[in-house]
Amino acid sequence: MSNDELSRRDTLSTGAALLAGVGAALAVSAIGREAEAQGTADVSVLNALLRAEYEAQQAYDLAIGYFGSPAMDDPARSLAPAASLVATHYRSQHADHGTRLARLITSLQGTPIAQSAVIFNLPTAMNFTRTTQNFLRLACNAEKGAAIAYTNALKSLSNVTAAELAAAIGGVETQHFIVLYLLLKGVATPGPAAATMITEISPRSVVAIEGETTDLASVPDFTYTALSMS
Amino acid sequence: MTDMYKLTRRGLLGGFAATSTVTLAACGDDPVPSGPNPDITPLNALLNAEYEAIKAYEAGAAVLRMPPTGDPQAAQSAPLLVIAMNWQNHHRAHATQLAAAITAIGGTPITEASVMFSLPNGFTPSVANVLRLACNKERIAAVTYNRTVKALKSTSSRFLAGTIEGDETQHFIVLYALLKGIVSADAAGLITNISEVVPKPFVAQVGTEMNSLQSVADFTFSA
Repeated sequence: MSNDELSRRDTLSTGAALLAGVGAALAVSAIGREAEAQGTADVSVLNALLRAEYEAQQAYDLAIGYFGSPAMDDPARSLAPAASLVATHYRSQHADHGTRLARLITSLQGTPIAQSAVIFNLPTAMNFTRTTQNFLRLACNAEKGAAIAYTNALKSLSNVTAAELAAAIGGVETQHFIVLYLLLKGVATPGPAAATMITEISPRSVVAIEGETTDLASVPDFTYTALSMS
Repeated sequence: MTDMYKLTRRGLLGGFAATSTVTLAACGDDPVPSGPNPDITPLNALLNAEYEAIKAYEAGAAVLRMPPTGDPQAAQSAPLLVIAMNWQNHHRAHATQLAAAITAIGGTPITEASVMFSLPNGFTPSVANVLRLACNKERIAAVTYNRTVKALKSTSSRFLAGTIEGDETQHFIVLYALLKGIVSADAAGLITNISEVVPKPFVAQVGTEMNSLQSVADFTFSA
């Protein structure tokens, strides 16, 4: 084999390798940019949800403060102690949601917004006055909005872990919503176990997370009992 | 070997063809590799569960229509029957949307006739046992939907699962809170607002505008 032949074969081989290398690099670069863009978009969506969680905590803080000392002429004054228990429990679940979202944002190389950067103000332009009913209405409206926001976030979240968490939290906001909704509609009233089992009003802060031992999957089934005919 | 696997193998052996496949996969979303859409199977599993739920509510409704003699909760069976039928309709709405989604991505939805439901061991007819059965099933459904979100590839499938999951969680918590005695039904309020006991079958809009919580008006504040 002549040197020319060797040289030509080396050139072809090197060219093929270069072409393959450039192709691979372009592909990796494209994948990297795509993933980076998706990651950035996911972080933005998750930070918006985190902001809403921080606002919810502050809203519940204001409500709990009022329920502790309701106005003497508040027509639903007698409901304030039960409302306080519910609000305190829901607030703790929102705090857990905030922690989970912040941790996920960090794992996606994002920066979670700071809780101190979020300021919640009571509505001023909608006849909001401090009463037990109005705080319950405010919470119900906000929980409904949160449930819808978490569900709609699934349309845009590309990261599957983020989608799982959004669904797991959204399914708890719906529970908060419907309980408040039925109380406000007069369909439900606090039951005999309301004071002693209030954490069961929404027994877990997430519906289902892979590897989680304290999600809704850990709530035992009810067992069936036979009628006593005595 | 199916055409899909031939294509995949050829793609892996060829440089740029492999790159294309990887790029599509990396996008991780609506663009999926050739072959059956991977969301068809998990969506059909959810559809199976919805058909089971419809049949479970039918079995429960039979007890509520004629509670056993001596059932201490017999007086509550009439409003509970109305709620059970409303929620069965929710599950029908879920099934309709799941079947449409499966068809839209090239799959064949399972038929309702192919799904069997059997009452669980230990179940004896009573109003309380119907509530327990429904609560247990709704909790499992909510968990299943959430787990399936993680298995679904497209964002539109995940959205559909999520918007149904949030309805199952509402069914669950209403039954759970009642059974635990944390809330009690107000007889007068129930008669007036019985359709408000989980007012919509979806959380966020699917199909028509009026079928989701987006169409539920906010409460207004009063002085």
